Amino acid sequence: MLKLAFLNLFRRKSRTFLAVVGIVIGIGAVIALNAVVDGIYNEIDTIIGSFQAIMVMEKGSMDQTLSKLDESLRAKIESVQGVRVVVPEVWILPQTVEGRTLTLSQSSIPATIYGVDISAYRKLRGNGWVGELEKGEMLNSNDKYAVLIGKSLADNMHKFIGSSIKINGQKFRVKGIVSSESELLGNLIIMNIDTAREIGGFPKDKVSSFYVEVIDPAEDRKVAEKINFALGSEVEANTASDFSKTFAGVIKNFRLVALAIALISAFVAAIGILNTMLMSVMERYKEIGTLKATGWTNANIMQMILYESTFIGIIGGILGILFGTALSLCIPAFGIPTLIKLESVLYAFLFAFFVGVVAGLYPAYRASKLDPVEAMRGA
Amino acid sequence: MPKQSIIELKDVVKEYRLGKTIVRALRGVSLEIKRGDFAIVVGPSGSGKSTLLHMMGALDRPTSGKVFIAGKDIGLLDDWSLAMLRRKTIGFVFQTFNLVPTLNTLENVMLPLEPTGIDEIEKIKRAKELLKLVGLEHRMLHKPMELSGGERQRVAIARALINNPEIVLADEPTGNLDTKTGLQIIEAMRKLNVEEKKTFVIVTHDLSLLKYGNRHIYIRDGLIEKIR
Repeated sequence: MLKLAFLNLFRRKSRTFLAVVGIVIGIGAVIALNAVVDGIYNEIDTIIGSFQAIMVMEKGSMDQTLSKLDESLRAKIESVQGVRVVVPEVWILPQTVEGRTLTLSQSSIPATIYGVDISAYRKLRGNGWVGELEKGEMLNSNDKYAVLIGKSLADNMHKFIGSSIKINGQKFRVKGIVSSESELLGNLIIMNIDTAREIGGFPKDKVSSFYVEVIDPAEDRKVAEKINFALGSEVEANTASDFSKTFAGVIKNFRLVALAIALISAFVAAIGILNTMLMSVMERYKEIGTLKATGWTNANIMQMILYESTFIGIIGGILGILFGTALSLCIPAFGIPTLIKLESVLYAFLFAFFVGVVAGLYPAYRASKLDPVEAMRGA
Repeated sequence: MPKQSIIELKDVVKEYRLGKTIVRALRGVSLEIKRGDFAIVVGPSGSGKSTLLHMMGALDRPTSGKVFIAGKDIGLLDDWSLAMLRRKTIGFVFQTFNLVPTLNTLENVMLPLEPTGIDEIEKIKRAKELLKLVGLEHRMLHKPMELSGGERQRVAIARALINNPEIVLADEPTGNLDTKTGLQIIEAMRKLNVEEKKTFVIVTHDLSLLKYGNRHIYIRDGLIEKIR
């Protein structure tokens, strides 16, 4: 019966093809959308995961580039029990890099200036949190016009150790190249905090945020609460897991949008299969009547039609996965990160299978209920 | 020893609704087909002979009256039981052959066995035997489009016999064939009747086929005119 059902799909090749295309587009879109959502999630999660510390920012600011705090708060934070190092930092979006204005159209992940108190940063455990120093040397407190740059930026702008880079019109020497799994951190320009304030027009006694390393990472939540208590209502101390939670909430909304698109495409694809199968059943009345005359039961007929619609779902699902994967591999060329998860692929396939089965139910029911005599007359 | 009855119709009436009109295709038919009969049902177009064949093949239920097939009252059977009765007891041969174009000769013959639990090797074995019986063993892998009309009808006969039914019902089996091929088909059926002990009921408007039957049933206007 499986063979018969499979061969039946090739009776009207173009019609079957169109029904399959409906599924391919739907499943492809779902795979690509999920890959984008997962890619962005993975990107941000990598950044969040790279610091096991507390970020102190102005309350209500969306990110560090929009936050401003008095540098004098540093002493208060340092006095909180459990704090190991407090690193003042400024985050600025540069106006020009190498004389060019970086806009979203050129790169979806623009270069960002990370001005940091070098002496404090060097006290952090390991090599600091923004990435591993791949080449060159770490900055010193007296390196006024020297920078470390992210690997992506170095690759894109063909920079190497010792080459110069112009930021906001000021020439800098590349002292080191930092590698990171994150695309965002890969576009970072790390410099002395005073220089960053100077070229970015940032007030001298202000910082964007404080990066706070705790003595015992397991106690980070407690320390963050102590900082919040000590610094009052204008400041907000968040741990990595707090950021994770907030971000997970945002991603959940993206996932809902992806799900809505998936449902709409499934509905359209299901209508395509339904139409194909109804037409196919109508054209085969005589054959269905003959099968009934030879002893096929209503359930046998239903099974055959359901196999056919399920085959459309399966074929569409497999091709849709290939199409979606190809799309997901092309999208990063536009600066948007993607990540194809095996579970997304499996869900998409099950989804296509399910659409195939559901869309075939009504045509299968109609075919099974045909009166054999009427069917053989072709009525 | 008298032959046992295998099909029995008692005062069978069959009405169809055509729009708002009710058409009486059978108007009180009673007859008996015995095991081993080679019965020819003749009558003009619209006389009700196809409807009669549908009743005898458990494809339709009577509006009133009783139809017994192999001792079972088909008016009391549900759809599933009717399908099982057709599967086990009846084989059909149609005027237009009704073969599945995507399947080859062997697969077409095996089609009625498809929903049964019979082993694939056994199905192939049976189908091959039947194709040999109807003289088509050399055309097993051909599609219906590649066969002549007579060959297609012989495939249909093999298909009708695959379930080893007691009864074979044929609706105008020579209607789409030339005279010579038609006679070959009827002779092939007669041979199966004699050698395989199958009961045949053939519906036709071709009076020249009467000479092959041991029973002749004349039908007109939904009534049995005479039986010989």
